[in-house]
Amino acid sequence: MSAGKILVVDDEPQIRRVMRVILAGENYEVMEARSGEAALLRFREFLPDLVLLDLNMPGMSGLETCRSIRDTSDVPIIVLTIRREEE
Amino acid sequence: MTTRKPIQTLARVLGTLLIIAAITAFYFFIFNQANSTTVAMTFLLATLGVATAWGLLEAIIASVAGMLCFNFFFLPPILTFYLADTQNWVALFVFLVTAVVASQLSTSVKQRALEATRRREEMERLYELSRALMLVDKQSSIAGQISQRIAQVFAVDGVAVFDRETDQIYKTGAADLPISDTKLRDSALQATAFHDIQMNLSVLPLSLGREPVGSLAIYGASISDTALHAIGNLAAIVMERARAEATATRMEAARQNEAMKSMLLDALAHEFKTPLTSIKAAASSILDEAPPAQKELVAVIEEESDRLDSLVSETIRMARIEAGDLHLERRPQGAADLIKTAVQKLRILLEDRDIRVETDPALPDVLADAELVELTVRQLLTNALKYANPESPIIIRAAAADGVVKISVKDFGPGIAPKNLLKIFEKYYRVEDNTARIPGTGIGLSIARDIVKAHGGDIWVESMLGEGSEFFFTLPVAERLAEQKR
Repeated sequence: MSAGKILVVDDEPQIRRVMRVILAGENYEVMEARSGEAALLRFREFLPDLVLLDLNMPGMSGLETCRSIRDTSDVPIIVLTIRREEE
Repeated sequence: MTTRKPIQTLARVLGTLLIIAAITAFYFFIFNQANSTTVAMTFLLATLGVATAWGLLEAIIASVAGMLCFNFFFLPPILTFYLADTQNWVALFVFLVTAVVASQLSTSVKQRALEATRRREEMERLYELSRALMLVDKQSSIAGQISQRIAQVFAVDGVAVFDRETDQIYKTGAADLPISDTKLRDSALQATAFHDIQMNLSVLPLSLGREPVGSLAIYGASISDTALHAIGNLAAIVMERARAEATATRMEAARQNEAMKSMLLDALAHEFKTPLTSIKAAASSILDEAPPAQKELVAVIEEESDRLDSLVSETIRMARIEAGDLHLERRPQGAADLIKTAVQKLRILLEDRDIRVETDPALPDVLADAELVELTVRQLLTNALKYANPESPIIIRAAAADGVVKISVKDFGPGIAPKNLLKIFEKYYRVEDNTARIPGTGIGLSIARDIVKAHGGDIWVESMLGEGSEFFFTLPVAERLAEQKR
């Protein structure tokens, strides 16, 4: 029925909202997580086919989250980040 | 005592002898019927005249010569030095005493007159110096010009002025002042003066009662202590004034700079807001007709352009405050309302967060600028959002305490190391670990501090690494008694 399950991890509510709407429009089943910690919990329940992961988050960082997911799964992870060139 | 040239003395001695000889000749050859008393009186008069005009040495010579001539030519037996009458010894004694007393008196009077003239000259020179110093050229070194002017006006052999600010010594005249640079510096640093009479050197610190601004050495001049002191004060005044003017110029430049910045910011704000307005208008018009699937996306456009708009306004506001433009419009406010509004303005960011507001129900009103205090609360909230784990709660509290209302924002973020607890309120300061990971300018907390201080309140933070931070600030309770009585 759905095109696939996607876990969206971002601490910014509006970014999650936009992604949810767009992806849902494309018939994906979307689960949101506002932190790395929440992402790990959701991951286990939801078992997504793809993870969209923000890199800069307070608390558990995107990189740490990415490593933790990789410890248990080979699920594709797309890292999203707003980073300026000079940094 | 004034020193005399030997030639001058010799001339005066000869003159004295000539006068005595002239009197003798006059009475002996021309007016020889005059009695001895008249002659004696004339000699006495001459001695007095010499004593007043020329001094002790000439007076004694006049008295001895006068007595000898009187004795030889006019006292019987005439043309011998033999004194027949003991009275003539008395005459000799009178001549001598008169000579000494008169010359002493006249010398001291002359001395005083000389002193007065010297004083007057010094005063004139001081006046001239003060005028010269008022006209110093502000473009070049002040201390150098002071040194030159003193040397010029007081015609001394050498002057050195040490300027503490530039740590430079300016010398005029004698290249080899009998004082080392180190000693001159020490005079300023330790505020000590000294005089070397043998070297004819005076060194004094330049100060107006406070820390000396420099020191001055004058070499080869006989200047009274009073005048020296006055010169020192003049130099100190000029140097202090130059410093004050330089500071004022710098401040004026900084102020103009800030004014420019402010203008630039206004222009920039306008540039940003124009497209935002179009975006918002366009989004609003689509919103009504958009198919349900797109409605939410259009709503995001609308909301986010609103957010961007208020971010621009807030940034401008903060830049203004940072530039020193902080005007409070204080009114009695309920602290709980202020917190509510601040949270409301951030609602999009706080939507799914656990925000706990714990305010005392019986809070007294605070006297505060609502907009600025909201800005402060929002600043602390945004910081908590930026640093603390999204899963953790944020607790906002307000409680009354001792004439103030204490508002706090507590997070369960990474906490702040003790060494940074004060620094984080400094402008542009950011804790190093965060500079790369978490975006920020380091302005927010410094502005929060400025706002709170302007209200007469305090701002501080209590924090434990790994536990979280709690930011506090206080606002004065509004005095409403007067209003209630009316």
